[in-house]
This record gives sequence, C-alpha cells and structure tokens, in this order.
Amino acid sequence: MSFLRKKSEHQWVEESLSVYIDGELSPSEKRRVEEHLKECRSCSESLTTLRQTVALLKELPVVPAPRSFAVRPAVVRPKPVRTPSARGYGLLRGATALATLLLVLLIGADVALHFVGVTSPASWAPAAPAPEVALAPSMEPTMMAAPVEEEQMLGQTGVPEPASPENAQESAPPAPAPAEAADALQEPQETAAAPRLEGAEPAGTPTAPPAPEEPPAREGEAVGAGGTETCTAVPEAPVPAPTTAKSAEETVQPEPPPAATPEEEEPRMAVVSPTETPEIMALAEAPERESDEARASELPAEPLPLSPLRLAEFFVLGVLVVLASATLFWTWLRRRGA
Amino acid sequence: MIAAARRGDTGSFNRLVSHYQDMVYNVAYRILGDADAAADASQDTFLSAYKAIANFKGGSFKSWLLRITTNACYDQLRLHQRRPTSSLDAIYTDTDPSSHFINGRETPEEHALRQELGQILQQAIHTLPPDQRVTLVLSDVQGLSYKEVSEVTRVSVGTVKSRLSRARARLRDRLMEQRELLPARYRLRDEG
Repeated sequence: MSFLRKKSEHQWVEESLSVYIDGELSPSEKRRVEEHLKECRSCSESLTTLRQTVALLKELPVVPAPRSFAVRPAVVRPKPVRTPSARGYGLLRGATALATLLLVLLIGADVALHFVGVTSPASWAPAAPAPEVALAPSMEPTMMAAPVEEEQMLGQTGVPEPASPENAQESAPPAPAPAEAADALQEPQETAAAPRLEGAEPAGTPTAPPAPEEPPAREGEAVGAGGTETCTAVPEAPVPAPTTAKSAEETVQPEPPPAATPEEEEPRMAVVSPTETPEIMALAEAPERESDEARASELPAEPLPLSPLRLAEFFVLGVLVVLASATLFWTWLRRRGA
Repeated sequence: MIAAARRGDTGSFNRLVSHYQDMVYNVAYRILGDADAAADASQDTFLSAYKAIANFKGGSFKSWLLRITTNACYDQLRLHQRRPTSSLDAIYTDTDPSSHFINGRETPEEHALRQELGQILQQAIHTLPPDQRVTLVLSDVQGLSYKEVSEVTRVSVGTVKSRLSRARARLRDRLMEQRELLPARYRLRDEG
C-alpha cells in the first residue's frame, strides 16, 4: 500500500514540477513537492532539466517583424464597398440568365403551339380576324355603298328593288366598310354600330322605318326566332332575292359582290338596322372566293396580328438585350478595375 | 490610442500596430515556424483587429490581440495541413529570421550559437501538438502568466497548467534526445 502511495505521490510531484518552477503552487503543495524532492532523485533530475528547458526557451531571441503591418484604409475599406457591388453584379448576371431562360421557354412554347396550330388551325382562327374588323371603319366608304343601299331599300319596302344612285350615295358616306364576310361575323356589335348610327341620320329620311328597330343589332340573328315583324317577311324575300339584290347592287356599284344571298340574310338586314346590314350582307353575299380576294388585298396592308405569346417574346427579348448589355458593361468595368 | 482606434482613427490604430507588431510576429513565428506564414498570420491579425476593434470591450488589449493572433495561427496551420506540399517542415533548414538581429552585446560566435539553439528549439516546439505549442509559446516565450494564457486561449487555468506541464516535459525529452546537437553551453544536464 505504501509503495502505491509513493508511486502516486511521485506522479503527482512530477506533474506539478512545471507549476512548481513557476511558483504557482500553494504553500502546502510546495512543501509536499519539496519533501518528495529530498527523497526522489529522479524527480530532482527532472526538475533540473525542466528548469534548463524553460531557461532555454527564454533564451530564444525575439524575431522582429520583417515589415510593417500597418493597416492601410485602401486595403481594408474596399471590402464593404465591393460586397454590395459583387452582389449586384451577381444579381445582374442571374437576371440575365433568367431572362435568357424565359426567352428560350417562350420561343419553345411558341414553336410548340405553332406545330399544334398546324394540326388544328381553327384554334387560332377566331383570334386573327378581330383586329382586322376593328380596322374596318378606315376602309373606303364606296366599298360599303352597295350593302348599305340595298339594306335601305330592304328597310323601306321589304322587297328588293333596283336602288337609285342617290340613295346609295346618301347612305354610303356614313357607313363603315366591313368588306370581309368572315370579319363581319366576328366584329363586335358596338364597334360596328357606333359609326353607323352617325351615318344613319342622313339616310334617315329614306330609311326612317327601320331606324327604331335598330337597338338589338346583333340580336338580328335571334330575331328570326323572336318572331318580329320582319321575320314574317322572311319567307317572301328569299327566292327572288338573289337576282333582285344582285341587280340592285350592280346598278349602284360597278364592282358589286356576287349576290349570293342566303335566305336568312335579307330578313336579318331588314330587321337589324341599316348600319349592321352591310356587314351581314357582305358576310352573306360574298362568296368565299371574293372574301379570299379581299383578304389577299388587305392582309398585306394590315399589320400582322401578334399573339400574346409573341408579344411576351418581344418584351423578354428587349429586357434580355438591356440586361446583357448592362452585364457586359459591368464585366468590362470590373476587369478594367482589376 | 485604443479609444481613438475604436472610433475608427486609422492613425491611432497604426500606432498600436507599430507597438505590438514585433510581439505578434514573434508569437506567430514561434507557433508556425515559418516566416511567410507568420507574416500572413500577423497581417491577418491586424486586419481582423482593425475590423473588430469597435467590439473591443476593454480589458487587456494585449490579451485580446494575442487571442486574434493565435486564431490566425490556427487558420494558417489548417491551411498548411490542406497543402502538404508547402509543409512547414521545409523551413527548418533555413536560417532563423532572428539571425539578422544581432544583439550588440554578443559576439558573432555567441550569435551563431544562439541561432543554432533557436533552430533546434524551433524544431522541438514544432513536434508539440498545436494546443501545447500555443500554451508553451505564450507562457515561456512570450512570458504570459497562467491567467493571461487562460484569457488568450479561453481555457481554464487548470488546463493551462496541465498543457504547459506536458509541453515542457515533452520538449525536455526532445532536447535530451538531441543533447549532442545543442551547443555545449546550452546542453541539458540532469545532474543537479
């Protein structure tokens, strides 16, 4: 037991020699160490070599700084300045990449829709005519002379008669020009009605009766079902209509559309209003061949309608150009600064 | 100076730098054993101190600066561990930077002996684990008290004592093994 106690005492003293050298032991610990050192030669030698080691370490010369480590504001301060700059540059690059990706996606979608549209062109058909109809009022009034005049005649008599050139000229100026049959079908009621109401007044004297029946213009299609007065006249008109109407148009206008008047068209025009009839007449009478010719002559003059997708592509392309220019400029500035 | 430096006065801070840079570089060199790494650590120390001096809450500025120094040294040690090709072992064949510093009171022969001692001691220090090395340098090279070492290394005084005890014993054993390499006047003698 005493041997074990001696060994543990030896270990404790050996581990405490470093602190003993520094004089950091308590008085009781110091006495304990000194008593052990009197008996233990190994610990005494260890204390000697430890003291020599510490003395050697204190002999080490101070190594002077090879240069000044003074802080230059130019070295330290740019960091906080560069951080937001670098962040902005990164954001700009990210935005450019995002715009590029968006443009690619839009073009891809456009191409995909194009191929889809080839298989089912009807999906785009309704959208295309709308702008053309909206532009219709700018067309020449002479184009409208025949339908309007014919409509007036129908409104007055309910029976097609050869129209006098005077009537035609009276009603011609105010009438807008819905020349295309398909476009006339697509045209909203308001756009067509507004200009025609102005023109209906000068023609009001000869066509006074039809004017009050004007308001439900588009309902003219439903009028047939509604059973108005004019609807009763429907059966009368249809058979002779083609020839009479055609002859009337020919007298009014040198280049009349072929009078292919379906049975429903004349009553409709008579019921609706003098303003709407030209469109419907043109729609009804103009054969496909003629409407194709009209389109062929007018489409090149009109700006191509842009789908929302195409508009988005142009918009993103513009944004991308701006972003890419800014990114390139910034990159150039950074390289120049570096 | 410290108060002015805390207000952002670079001139005052640089006066602190010129006052402490030898101490910082010396500690860094003894911990790292490489002049270039010590210079990098010293520069990092002062840059970090300049940025953080506004957060200095009083107390011992020396201890605060040495804490930054030891952290910079740990960073350098990690950096060199990741780059084994630039191991610090290579520099021990070079002469000690202190060889350029000739004390006017010692002869060239004494200076050569001290240089030789410095190289051997530096190699022996480098064999110690980083924690023991830092504690040994701060205590026996820089002369800090246990309490100061405890503040710098942020460990208890008891830990400082045990680390220092083990570091000294290990260094002593290393120097005893290389006793013949030491200059005669610096050789360890175990006889009392």
